[in-house]
Amino acid sequence: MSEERKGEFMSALVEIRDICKIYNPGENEVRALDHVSLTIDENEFVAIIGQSGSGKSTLMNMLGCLDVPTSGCYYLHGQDVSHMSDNELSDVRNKEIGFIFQGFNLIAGLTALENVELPLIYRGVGKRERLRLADAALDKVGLALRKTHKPAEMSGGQQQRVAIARAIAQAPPVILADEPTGNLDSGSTKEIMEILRSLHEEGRTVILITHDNEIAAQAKRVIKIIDGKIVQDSENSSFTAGSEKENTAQEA
Amino acid sequence: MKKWRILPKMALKGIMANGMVYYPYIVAGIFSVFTFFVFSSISYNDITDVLPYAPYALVITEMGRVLLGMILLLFLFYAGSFVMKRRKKEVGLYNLLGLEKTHIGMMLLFENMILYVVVAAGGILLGTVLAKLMFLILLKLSSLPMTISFTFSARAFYDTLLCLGVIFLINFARQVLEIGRSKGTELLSGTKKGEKEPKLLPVWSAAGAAVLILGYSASVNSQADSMILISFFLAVFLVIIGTYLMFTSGSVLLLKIMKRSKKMYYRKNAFITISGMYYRMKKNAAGLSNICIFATMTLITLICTFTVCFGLDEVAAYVYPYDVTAEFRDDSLPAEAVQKEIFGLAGKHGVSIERMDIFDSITLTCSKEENRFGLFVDQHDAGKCRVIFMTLDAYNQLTDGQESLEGEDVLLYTNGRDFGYDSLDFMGIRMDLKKEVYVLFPYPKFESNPKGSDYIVIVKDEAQRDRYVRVWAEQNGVEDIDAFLRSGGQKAGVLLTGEENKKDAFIEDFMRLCEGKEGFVAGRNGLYSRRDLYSMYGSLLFIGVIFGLIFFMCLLIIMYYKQISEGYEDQASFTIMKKVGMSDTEIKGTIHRQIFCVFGTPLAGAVLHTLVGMFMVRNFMAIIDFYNGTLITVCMIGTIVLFGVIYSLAYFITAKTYYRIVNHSC
Repeated sequence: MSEERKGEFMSALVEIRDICKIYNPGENEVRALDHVSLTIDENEFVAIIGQSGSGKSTLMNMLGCLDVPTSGCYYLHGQDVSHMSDNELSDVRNKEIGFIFQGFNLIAGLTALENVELPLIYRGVGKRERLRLADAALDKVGLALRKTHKPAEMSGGQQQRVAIARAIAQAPPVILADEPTGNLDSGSTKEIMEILRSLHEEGRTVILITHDNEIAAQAKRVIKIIDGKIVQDSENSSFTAGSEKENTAQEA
Repeated sequence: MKKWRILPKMALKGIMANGMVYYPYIVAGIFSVFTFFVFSSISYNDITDVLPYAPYALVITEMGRVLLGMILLLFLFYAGSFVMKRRKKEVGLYNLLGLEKTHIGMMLLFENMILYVVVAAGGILLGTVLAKLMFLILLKLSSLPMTISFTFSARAFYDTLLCLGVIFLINFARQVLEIGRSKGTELLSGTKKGEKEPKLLPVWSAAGAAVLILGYSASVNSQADSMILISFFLAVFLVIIGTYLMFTSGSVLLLKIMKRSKKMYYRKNAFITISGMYYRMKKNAAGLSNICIFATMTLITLICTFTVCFGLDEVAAYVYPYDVTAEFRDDSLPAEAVQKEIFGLAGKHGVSIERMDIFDSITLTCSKEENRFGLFVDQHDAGKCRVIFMTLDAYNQLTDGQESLEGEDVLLYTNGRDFGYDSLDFMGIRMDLKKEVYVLFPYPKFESNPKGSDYIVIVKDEAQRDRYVRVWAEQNGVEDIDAFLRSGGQKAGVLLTGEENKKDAFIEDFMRLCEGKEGFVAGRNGLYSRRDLYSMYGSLLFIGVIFGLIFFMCLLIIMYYKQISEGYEDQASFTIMKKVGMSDTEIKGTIHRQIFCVFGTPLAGAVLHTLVGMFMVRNFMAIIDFYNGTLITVCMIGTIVLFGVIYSLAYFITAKTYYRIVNHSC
């Protein structure tokens, strides 16, 4: 990419330009994404909301560098990732994105600490530093006492917190959360949303994919997708950051 | 730090973290390598130099080794594919978290290398420790002297390492191909993919039924002839294809029809059970057909093994009733003189004569239809039989009896199914049966002998015999009938008791004596041939036991893996059923029923295959002289019952894993 182009999008962390994703090209083609353009800046808290089949999962796959578009461009942190090879995409995912999934996606045979260490290992972080980072991440999500537990020994909410610790341990610029509360009860949902909110306050970019209006309403910006097209992209007027919340409470 | 440096550690961790699927795989692999190594070691021990009658044992062991290699290739390939299927999600996650596919490939390479080393080392080590013992067991079962030394051959090590290496290489290549072709997201949801319902369900079901019926008819219509091996492999092939189709399509179609029947479907218990089974069969059909096929193989192998085990002495006595026999061209040899010489030899070599028969008979080939014996023309005629004419004197001598005959009356004995008529027609001559006799020593009776039977016609004297034989000779165009009448000859048979080496010395001397006599035609060393027989069937027995164990191990692993996949699937079902308001007891009840049906169906299928397969097994056993139908039936019933018990035990043991997984969700 040219320096000029790099400079143009310097402030945009995520820049998607006119991308389409077509499955089964031909007679029975499915247009999952239809000329979608989107920009997400650093330190945004964005919710992408859409019903099942709306194309939000495809968009999440694109944003997460899990798939490449049929046409259009995707710039992540200034680099064009839309034409990268599988191996290059893996590297980008490792360095730029922290994933949180609905089904937690933890490795059953590993402890909480080992699960969090995993992406750090791929990144080549030394053992001592790796342990320090993993420890810190687990402390941050309130699981300091559960480090040696395996996923099966933890509740759904705790497992999701391990997944969040794994996503944030290497301090990636983007945190991509795909229906992170979909499998959780209301108590755990609240906890997870609190953690995501605090990550945003720390300066992380959080992208939340959901079908739930209530969850989406907790983000600062809401993008609505229907039939593969963005139909709404608006700031959430009711959004108040945690620190603002505290100030308001004190003033009252 | 370079990524590849962490890969061996990750590979090791991956194996340990997935112990639930890897440890049984390693155990099965070690057992497979152990058996293959033992077979290889035995076949490279050149015992033929020391023992002239050992080639059968070696040839059979060599055949077993090749067959074993093929079975193990398929089995380890299946087990490897299951392990990979269960790990797809994990590998997908690695990829998603940033591990490049190249590195995943390398990690899998390290994993395979670690497994290869563990399995090969474990199997060969076990083999090295136990090969000598297995060799001694083979010698014992084959009635070969246990004093033969056993040496390890470098080729056995080489062959085992090479064969296992090829299997692991194929497995690795397939894993890499699978990972390379799938996207990270596909891998992440990989474990959820099961076997899909075929598109043309009724067509495939009909094809499955047709192929199965063809396979069954190949078994039912098989004959105990030279074509049996071809029929056997054809039947096996058809039944395997038929079973696969019936499980993947037939069972799903049946459940679909049950679902459509509103009367049947919308009942409290049936609703969940039928829909649950429908889902399970769609997903598990191929795996269950594998269990059914391996269960059938185990059953058939064990039935044959038990029959050989319990029937070997009987067969040896049937095929070689005497330790030594000699035939002379005419009946001029004075029996008393021969007897005296035999007693002299027995005294010289320190053996006792348990039984000695000197008698004459003429054997003629005829065709038989009901009670009529006629000219035999067609070589492929199923009615071919042997008619042996024996004089009353010879009969009385053989049976120690005092039977008498008048006029044209005859006695008749057959070593096959009872004759059942009171007269017979021999080449147009009618003979009245004084009675049918049912015991005659050198010709033991096997009613279910499908190879055709011998009919021994006992006539009053030589004159009567010659009259009948002359008619046969005329109709068969024999030119020198008088010479032919003399050619039937005299037979001498001796059974000995005493030490084996002394018996051998007796036989050697006896043969030398006979060869020196005028009119000597042929002699047969029954003792030697019987040893040959024991050597051959003993090694068959050895292979049968090993193969029975191997098939059962394959079955056990497939069953265990199925329980694991069922368990993971049912974790979700448990939660859903709870959400729709079913009680724990109801849920457990319905899941028990389904799991029981899922594992009961292959057993029922295997028993059905075995029952139909018994037609062929009987013929197959008859080819190798095991005619005792009662023994085969008893072995079949015993094996099915025993197998049923072991299968149920295996089911309950592996079901523990299932409940452990399922209970995690509760």
